[in-house]
Amino acid sequence: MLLFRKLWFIIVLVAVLGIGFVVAGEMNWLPLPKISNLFGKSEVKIADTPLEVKEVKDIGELICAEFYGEVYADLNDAYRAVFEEYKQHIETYGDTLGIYRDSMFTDFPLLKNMIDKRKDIEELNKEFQKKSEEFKAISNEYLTKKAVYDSIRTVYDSVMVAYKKGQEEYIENKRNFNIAIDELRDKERDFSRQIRKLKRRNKEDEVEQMQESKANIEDNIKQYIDLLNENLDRWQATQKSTNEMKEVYKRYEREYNRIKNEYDRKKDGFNNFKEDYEEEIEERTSMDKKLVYIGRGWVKAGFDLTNFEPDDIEVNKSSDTTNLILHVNRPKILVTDINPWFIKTKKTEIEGYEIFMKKGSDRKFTNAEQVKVKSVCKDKLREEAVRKGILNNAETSGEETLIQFFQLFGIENITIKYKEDNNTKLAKQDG
Amino acid sequence: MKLHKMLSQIAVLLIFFICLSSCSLFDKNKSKRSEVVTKLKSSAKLASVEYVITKVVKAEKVRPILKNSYFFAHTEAYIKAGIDLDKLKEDDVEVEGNRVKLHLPPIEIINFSYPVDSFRLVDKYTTKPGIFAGAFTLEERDELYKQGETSIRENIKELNIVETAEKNTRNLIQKLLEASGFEVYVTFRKSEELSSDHDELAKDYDDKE
Repeated sequence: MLLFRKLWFIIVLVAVLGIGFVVAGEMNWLPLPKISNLFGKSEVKIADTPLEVKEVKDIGELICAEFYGEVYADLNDAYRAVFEEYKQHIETYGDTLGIYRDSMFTDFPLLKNMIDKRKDIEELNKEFQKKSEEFKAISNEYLTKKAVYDSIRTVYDSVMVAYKKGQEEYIENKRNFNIAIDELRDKERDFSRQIRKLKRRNKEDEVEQMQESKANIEDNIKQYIDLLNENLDRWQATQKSTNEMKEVYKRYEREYNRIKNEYDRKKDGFNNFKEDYEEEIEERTSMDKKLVYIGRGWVKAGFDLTNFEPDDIEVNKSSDTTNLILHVNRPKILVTDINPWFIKTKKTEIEGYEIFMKKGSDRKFTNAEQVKVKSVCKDKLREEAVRKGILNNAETSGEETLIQFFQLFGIENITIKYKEDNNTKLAKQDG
Repeated sequence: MKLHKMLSQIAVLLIFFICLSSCSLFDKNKSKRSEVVTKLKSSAKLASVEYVITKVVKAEKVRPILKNSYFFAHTEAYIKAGIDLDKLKEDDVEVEGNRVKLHLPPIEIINFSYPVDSFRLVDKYTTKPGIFAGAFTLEERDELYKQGETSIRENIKELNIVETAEKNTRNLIQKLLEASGFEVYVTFRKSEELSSDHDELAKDYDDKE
């Protein structure tokens, strides 16, 4: 009887746990083991379907620069993008969405809420814009004053360096001149003594010679005294201009400190306002689900030569040289790609799209939301590539490629002209 | 005493299931490199043809206890092919007066694009999310698209892309050079493998491994 009871208990327990695991598996609460294949949790393979060629396009694209990178985008970014698209449509075409609006709300269930709250959010945005403009004005004033103060400070610093140098020079000169004067005065006294002695001995010729020498020494002393006075005058002039500069500097410093304090105060105020604003926006647009994707891919830019015509090349042959002018459009972004795989080899597997964070049951996410987050990743990657200078790189490298290509055929002077702005780049082959 | 036995039995069962679950945890979290070096580099690749390929990505989750679930999407891939002008050497060019013989590098895949914007989920044939519906999760969908990409890449060779790209590249080069006053003869170096931009990119990462 006891054994039967025990067995019965174990059967019930296993059944309860089993059902629990089925539910957990279905709801994706647990990463279930292979045994759960029973519930369809094992790796699913796609069916072998054929590839069909839909279209073959003749193109002519010279890819000259490639950018590889990694970006993040989340559901908030996706909704912001959808909301902007919706707003632009309404502004451009009026309320003409019709039944498309319903399908938009099905695809993006939180959009309706966003639209309802639009007015509130726009009010907040307006206030934020106003405060931002005010802060920007104060910021600009501060930066202008700072630039002036910095330049005055640079001048003041150089004046102070010159003052110190001038002071050292003054002291050094004064010391040297005084030493020279003292030495000359000693000599003068010595000559006076000797003259007196010679006078006592009535050696008139020698007295005359000595007096001439003494007169020379006196001249030298006078010259040194003049130098001493000049040195002093120079030093006093330096002191005067330095003091004037000090006054100007102090005035600017006071003004700068006043503006800086005001700027710091307003900056703190603005930052607090910004924080509150962001919290408010976050609160009003908060979602009960989160989805963050990492996207890894590439952007390629270059010349589109698809519509290239023979007229786009001008050739001028003279007796000894050939000049070629190539008319092309400026480089543009040719592709922006984030594929399911960034890299897949035997050694390395890097996903193009990887879920970084997911909050909420899978049932809460629509396919359109998932696609939009990924699509925003692509937009961000393209923006990043442009920010990193892909177009400039494509222009430089593309010009080099075209020039080198034509130089292979012995063409010496190649000019690349851009159709839209007639800017020219000239390359000459030496020899 | 009875309660004690019961608790120990529950504990044993729980440990058993946790062990099983952790096996799958290790399986799920197989290591993936997530560090992608941001870089901007110059290149010189001339793409002369673009193939637009469609592929249906469909899958079925067989669930012996519950109803099977399905996934069905139309997808498109855009494949650009052409030549890498950086591989063109001076020896590949013979100029005699205004006659030019050009021996161009082999055709390769210049860009492979399998964009998410081109994936159209067919609602009619796809199980909608719901409790116990067993609909494909976000991760599972991504996994199916990855398999789709692998399948397309494995079958590119069958698309006759090399011949078309050679024809178009020849036309493009001839158009460029004939407008410059040359008479042009173009041939191509042959390669057994159809190399792609992906190989070049993968090499950087494989070398680091």
